Amino acid sequence: MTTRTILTVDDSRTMRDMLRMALASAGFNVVEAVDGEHGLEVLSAHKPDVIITDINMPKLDGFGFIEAVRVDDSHRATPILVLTTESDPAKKERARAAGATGWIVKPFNPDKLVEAIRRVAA
Amino acid sequence: MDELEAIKVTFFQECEELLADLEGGLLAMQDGTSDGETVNAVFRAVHSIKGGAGAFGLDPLVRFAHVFETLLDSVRSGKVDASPDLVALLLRASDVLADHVSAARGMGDVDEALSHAMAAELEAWDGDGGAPAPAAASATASASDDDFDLSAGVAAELDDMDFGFTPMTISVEEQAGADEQAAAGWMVVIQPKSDLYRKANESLLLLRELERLGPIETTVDDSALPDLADMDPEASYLTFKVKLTTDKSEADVREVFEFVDGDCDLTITPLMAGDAPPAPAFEAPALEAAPEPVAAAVAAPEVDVAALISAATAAPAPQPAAAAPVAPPPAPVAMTPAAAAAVAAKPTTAAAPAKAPLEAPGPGQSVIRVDPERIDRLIDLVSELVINQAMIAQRVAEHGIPQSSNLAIGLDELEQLTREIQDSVMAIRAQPVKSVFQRMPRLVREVASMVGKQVRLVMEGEGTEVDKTVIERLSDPITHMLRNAIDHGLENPDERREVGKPVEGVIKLQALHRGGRIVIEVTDDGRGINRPRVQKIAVDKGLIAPDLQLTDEEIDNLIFLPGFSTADKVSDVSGRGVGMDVVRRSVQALGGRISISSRPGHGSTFTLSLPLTLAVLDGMVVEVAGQTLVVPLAAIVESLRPKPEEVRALGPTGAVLAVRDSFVPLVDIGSTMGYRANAPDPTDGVVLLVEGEDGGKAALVADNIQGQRQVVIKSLEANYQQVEGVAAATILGDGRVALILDVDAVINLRRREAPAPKPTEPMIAAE
Amino acid sequence: MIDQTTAVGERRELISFRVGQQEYCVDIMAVREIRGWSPATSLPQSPNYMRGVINLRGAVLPIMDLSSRLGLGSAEPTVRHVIIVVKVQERMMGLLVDAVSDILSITDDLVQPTPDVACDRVRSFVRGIISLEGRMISEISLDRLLPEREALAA
Repeated sequence: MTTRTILTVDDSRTMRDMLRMALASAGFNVVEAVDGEHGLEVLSAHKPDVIITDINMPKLDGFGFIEAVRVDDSHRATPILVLTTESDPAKKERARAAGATGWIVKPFNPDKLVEAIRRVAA
Repeated sequence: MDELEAIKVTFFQECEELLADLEGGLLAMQDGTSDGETVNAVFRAVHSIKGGAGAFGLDPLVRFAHVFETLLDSVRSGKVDASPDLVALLLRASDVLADHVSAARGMGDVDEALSHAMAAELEAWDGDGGAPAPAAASATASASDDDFDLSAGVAAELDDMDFGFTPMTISVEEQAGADEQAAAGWMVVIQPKSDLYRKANESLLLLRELERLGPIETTVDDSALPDLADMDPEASYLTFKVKLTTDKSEADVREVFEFVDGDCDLTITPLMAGDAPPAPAFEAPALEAAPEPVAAAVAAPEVDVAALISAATAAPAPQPAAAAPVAPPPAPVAMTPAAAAAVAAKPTTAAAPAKAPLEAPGPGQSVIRVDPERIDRLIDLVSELVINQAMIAQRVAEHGIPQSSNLAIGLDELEQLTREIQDSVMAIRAQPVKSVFQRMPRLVREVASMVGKQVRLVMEGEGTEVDKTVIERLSDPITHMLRNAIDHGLENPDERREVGKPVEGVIKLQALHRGGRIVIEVTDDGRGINRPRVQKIAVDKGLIAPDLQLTDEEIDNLIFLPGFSTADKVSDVSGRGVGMDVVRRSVQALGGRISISSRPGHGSTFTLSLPLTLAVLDGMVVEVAGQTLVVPLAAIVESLRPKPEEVRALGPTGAVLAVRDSFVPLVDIGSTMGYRANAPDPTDGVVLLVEGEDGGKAALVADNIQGQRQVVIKSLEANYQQVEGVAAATILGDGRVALILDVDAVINLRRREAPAPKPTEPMIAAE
Repeated sequence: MIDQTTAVGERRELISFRVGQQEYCVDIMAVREIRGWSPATSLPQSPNYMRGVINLRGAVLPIMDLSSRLGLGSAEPTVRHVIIVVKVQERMMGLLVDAVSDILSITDDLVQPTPDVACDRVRSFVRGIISLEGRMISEISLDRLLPEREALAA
């Protein structure tokens, strides 16, 4: 099986590093973006298999980012997992309405993260 | 685990930045900027701190950040008004949050009582901060599942947030009892809706997940399949019926469908041992092969029609409404061009008012993280290279090699390259003063509340870059200047009212580059220096002669004299054991200058200037009484060989030099520093005309000038201590240590030691 | 810290050296290196026992004339003089002495208290006296040698 590429979009360096650590050790290739706008640029360059995105970000937030991915013909079928907190079901629903495939609850543990990817990745 | 530790370091670095962003945003809100992006950035800062803290299990930090974030979320959604009182509270909360971060880092403690009180205050604000009734109802709405009108009303109320707010009914609880039964497995009927595919979920992946729980037998019902012509390739027409043999609970099965909850109709019924398998069995198509996304529906026509018909017969009747989740509003699948344009336009408009964080790399830009020690090492090496290069140049010059020779030309090029390398390397270590500035708003708040004054701090030039060695030394003098400005510069609120000034005093903290140095200015709009009083104090304390004529500027700068303190009583704030004289001395030790100017009634300005780096210095190498000394080039106005008629005696031992229209006191470096007892005849030596930090001039007498050279600054204090008259040391080309002169201190030393009738005679003797 | 009381019986190593006609020693753990005398750059505004500073591989090392510090008169350094580089409280310092004698291995019960007859200055610099094979060797208390750091918060 070829190595899957995961795009992580998060304005927090800490969170990006955490994701990278978990994903890299699970054998994924990781590309990163610092906000939604940057995410769209990286997306066109890397064609990731799965996207993991934060919601609260400057420039273009997670909702806007997901919507923009879903209207793009070449990425509309790319699974998107949103990073969310337990405390905010409304945000989760809004992310789903925008087109999110699934979600990861922060703080995540690496096993749950990999499991969530497995569940959405073809 | 090293990697995790490294991320933790990153986290705390990021916390520093986020705390600065938080404070910056709150200060902007205080100034009346409460646009969406500012409030969002403030929210995000706390949210990100909480997120990272959660990852590291820093519970007290998470708890406090959570309460803080909750209130900020209400502000963001417009439920709570960003009143000045609230912003003031949020600023204080940001200080407590900063304490929590420090504590989590193992640096300092949190005042538990304060933290609890603050958390309570934040929570209470959420409660009685005038939250509108409909918002309060939202809690009820989300709990009740059928009052659709009400929740729609709430959704309208929250239209800022544009929540797709829909109560969900999930039947897990009702069916939970089934878990208790010893089921042999589960009959799972999945009827995906188009939304499932629009979110890039896949029914085949769901089947694959189910298969992880146990062997499955799948049948597909395509009875809903329309004619090919009418088919929407992205719509869903199939129903999957899966017989799962497993000992897993219903909850485990349901978990497979977590992500598609609401996007498919799902029924799960226990399969009792002995239940006949649904006939005929149907192989799930191509489960191992990666299925084409969205292809499931299209692939269906290949299925044996007869099998499908019998499957349809076996399919259970539609489930009662209770089990069917209310569908959320459909996602905008195809955006209108206008809407798409809006999304595309959003970043530009949102980015415009936002202060782009300096650290954030631009799109596509990558950041390399390097251990600071490696950079320090590199800078040391380049510094040695500079010394070495200078040494070779000196040797070449000594050998009388003509300037036009290839060797000399090559050496010039080498010098230029060396300089460029040095500049580039220094630029790596340069940092914006922001890291120092960001600590100041808190200081100002604390000092202001301590002395009962209202102060607004305005900061400018936070992006001004300066070498790391200087950054570390800025904090103390800035702290003192600010304290002094609040404590002594600004009037009490009553006084301000009387003279018709706004009650709130304004202090401006500004950084800029000027003449190859970094300049920090602290300006207040207070009363200015009371010159008659300052002069009287200086006279009373015996610091200056009573009849001394001083310019306004000279009077202002009397506050830097040792033993001077304008405070009638030592207050908590300025009286922390350090006077401005000590501040001046430590600044001078760094090759810096500090001075004050003021306009009575309008305020004062402290000006601090420091070299951009403490690693290297351009200096003039001179010989004095057999010693080799370096005089900082920045202090030298010009060098000259005095003619006898330019030297005039003044008093019993003093002498001045006539320079154009003015007379400048002559200061023999050798005798002032104690290298020799008596000053030689100045006309035998060389004079360096220097300018002190208060603008006064002096003529330093040396025996000989060796030349101009860049030298590497070595600390004398690292292994010894500060020496009066000496700024630092360096190592010259011959390997010996040479001292770098502290020009101001030399002038002061000579003043003190000269048995002149006036202890502080003005620098400029005559006009 | 070298000045901490060491349990009786625990062995310590000391480097002994000559200052004028007297013998002194310091704990070997404080000694970083021993090097020959090289001319120092004199420090103005400093006590006369501070001989100046030298370049120690890029760092500025202050040199103390131990003879002068102990009140035995200023040394006239020659090429035979030696600098013992010691580390005291994170600071490096060179001690100018006449010559290094040897390395002693002692237990603390060999160290006797400094007799009352000594002057105050000596008493404050000398940790104790070791009697060994008829020699009298005074152990220097390095912490006390340095001039007080100029207190900034005066």
